Amino acid sequence: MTLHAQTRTAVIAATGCDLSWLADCLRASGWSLRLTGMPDLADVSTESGIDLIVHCHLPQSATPATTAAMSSEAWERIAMAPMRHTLATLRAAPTLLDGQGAVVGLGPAFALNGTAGLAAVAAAVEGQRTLVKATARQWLRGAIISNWIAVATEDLLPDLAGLPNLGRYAVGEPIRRRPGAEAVAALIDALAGMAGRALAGQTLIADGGDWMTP
Amino acid sequence: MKDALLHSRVAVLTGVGSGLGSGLATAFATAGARVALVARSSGVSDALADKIIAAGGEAIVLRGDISDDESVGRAVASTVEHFGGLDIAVQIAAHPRSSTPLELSAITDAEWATQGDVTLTGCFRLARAAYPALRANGRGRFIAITSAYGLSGDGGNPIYSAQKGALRGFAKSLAKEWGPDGITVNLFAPSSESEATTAYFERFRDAWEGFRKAIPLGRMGNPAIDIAPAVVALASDQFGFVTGQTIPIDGGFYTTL
Repeated sequence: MTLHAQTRTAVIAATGCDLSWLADCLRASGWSLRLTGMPDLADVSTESGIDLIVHCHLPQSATPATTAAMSSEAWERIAMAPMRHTLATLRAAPTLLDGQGAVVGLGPAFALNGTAGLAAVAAAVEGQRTLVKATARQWLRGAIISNWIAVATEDLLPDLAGLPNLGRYAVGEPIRRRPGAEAVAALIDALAGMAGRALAGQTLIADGGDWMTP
Repeated sequence: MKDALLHSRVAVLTGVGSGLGSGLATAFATAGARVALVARSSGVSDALADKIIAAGGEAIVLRGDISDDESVGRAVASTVEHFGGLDIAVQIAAHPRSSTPLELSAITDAEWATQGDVTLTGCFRLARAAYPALRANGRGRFIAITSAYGLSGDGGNPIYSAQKGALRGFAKSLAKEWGPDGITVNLFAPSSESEATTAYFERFRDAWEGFRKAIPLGRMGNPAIDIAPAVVALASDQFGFVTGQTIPIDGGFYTTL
């Protein structure tokens, strides 16, 4: 398998979140970027070849809400729509990548452990993460590598920054070495290169050591 | 029997038309629970209720469609009205095509929505409808079925894997939301004999041989003998301090966590 190491063109597909912080760092590390808010990547040209697709689809509003008070319309918007968007991106990926390359999904780390008031968002994120695993299994036959990075929730959903119990309980102030955008970009860069070939369907938790894989 | 694990508890169960649902309902009743059996059609559920009642248990049959908001609400309300409360809600219903293999590229938005409406949104509907009654008694139990494929992300049907994984995110957060009300929220991930798995493995014999070897106990679980007793325990006081968890009941198939 040969990745398009020379062209280094990436697509960032994002809905419900702002990934400009990440885009700047990926550009700085040599990636030519196409940004899209269309989950099916329909507006992305393949003329120069695409090597990497980064996707992150979150609800337009992730305001904490109790499940009992949640309308069916809100559930559809918060839990179901982001998953559908991820499905659309993953369906489009093989054609855009011309059968080889890397796909990296991003999601907020809180969903790994759960947070009160965010059950619908957590459903969306864990559904997306599991879809990435299932997709990675189907793609094992080919040359597309698909993985997932769980990043600090505040990086993707800054409005939730003050929410209690968003991270792991710690006595006193939590000690976290929260990675900056450069570190997350470097991780994506690695997943798109040789290091990524060792992985498939994995979740890397890049939250500064808050939650750790059991 | 007052010392039965679920003595006089009231349980509402969806998806009782399946072998697993039937096994669970019977086990719950045998453990002393008064059960409301929710199913889209009669026949199986009526016969099941008759069997439970003949054995000395209490059961009612409620027509209900897990993919319909009002229908789920009515089923829960009828349960509370008939039995005077609700202690346990169990979501078992799953979409019948969940075991059908699908290539990612062939998944249509319509198929995604149809399967998700039962497996995932159905769970949300039951949770939302059951919450007031579960909260009222201070010891509520909400239990839903997931799958090892929701943990490992099986490639056979990505819709199924994704929805089952989504349930885990939902349950973990719901456990934290409902903990202060004394309600526990847990999932179980069975390797259970069912109509769907039997059909799948009859169609894909090689898959069964491979799967069988991956189960240390060498077989799928019998719904009534192997799966239901563990779920009964999960619904009882024995598991009163366990919440937000996924309990594999699978003969040792998934041990990665």
